[in-house]
Amino acid sequence: MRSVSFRSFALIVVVVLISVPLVVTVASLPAHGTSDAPAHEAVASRYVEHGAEETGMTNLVTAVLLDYRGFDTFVEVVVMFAALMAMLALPRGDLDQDGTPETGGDALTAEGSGVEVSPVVFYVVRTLAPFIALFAIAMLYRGHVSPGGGFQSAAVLAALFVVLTLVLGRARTERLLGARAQPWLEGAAPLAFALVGGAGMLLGGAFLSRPGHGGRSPGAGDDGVRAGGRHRGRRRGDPGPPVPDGGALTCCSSASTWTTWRSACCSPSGCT
Amino acid sequence: MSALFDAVLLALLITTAVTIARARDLATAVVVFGLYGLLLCLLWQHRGAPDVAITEAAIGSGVTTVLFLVAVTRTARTERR
Repeated sequence: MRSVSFRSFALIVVVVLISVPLVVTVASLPAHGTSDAPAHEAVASRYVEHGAEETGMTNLVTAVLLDYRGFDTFVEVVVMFAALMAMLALPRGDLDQDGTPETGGDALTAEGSGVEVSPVVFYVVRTLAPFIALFAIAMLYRGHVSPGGGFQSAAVLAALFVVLTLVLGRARTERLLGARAQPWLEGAAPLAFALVGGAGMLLGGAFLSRPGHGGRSPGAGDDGVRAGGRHRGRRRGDPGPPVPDGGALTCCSSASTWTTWRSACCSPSGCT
Repeated sequence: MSALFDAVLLALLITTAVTIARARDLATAVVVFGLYGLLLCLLWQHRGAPDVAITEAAIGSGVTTVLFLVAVTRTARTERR
């Protein structure tokens, strides 16, 4: 009884220790929806005004994801990889033992998942799969000028493989991708990111910097200090001159910064 | 017209969310959840965020629904109270 009350007391202390800083931090944030919050006034307008010239990317969503917040994206990839490691550590054969045995005989049973699949679902998924894959590849290929890009393309492709695994069965999907290649592919994402970032360092810049862009490291442009001095003197929080209407990057500017921020209308080719 | 479209979408979103929470049949809840993701995708697209709309359609409406459906098929169809 005594230990129980001590435990609940300790729990209350822990909860207070965690929740009070959280509540204080949230309370000190700018009120939700205020238009003069720093995120709207300085950060977003900076991305819209100077994103294209600073990063050399026409899709500003990509510029934010891979340049301004490149470290963020890198650690996100690492987090995904850590989650994947945890999943791979789970015993793999469990699903197959209580479900249908992996015979590969019955065409309409998802092998290894133990779920009866209706013929309609089976054939629709099988017929649509190449088109979904093509859509994902096209989105990746056109991502620099149209909505989409690496993240969305990979999301669609990953969704396709999840559905294929569930509907056609794990055995068939593994035949498609190669069971041995899978762990390598999964580990390749953070490794490739780190290698590309390291290449920036080797070529004389900072981590994740690209040659030809002033050796700028991600996030350096946020301070308005950039090699070349074009934006020198602008401090963080100083919104700078207002975005002119009718400019190439702000053709759709009407209501809010977020409207102009979207990739579709921020391409130099004009409003879509 | 644009604001009306948004209002209709938001009303439908709330309706579907309440339906999901109240449904006893889990398969119904999952299918309505897919509809919810689709409506949210339309709203993102209409509010000028095509990238988020694509992700919502693929993950929120697509994969999550399928995973939930499989989970329901392999466990219990109705909620126990």
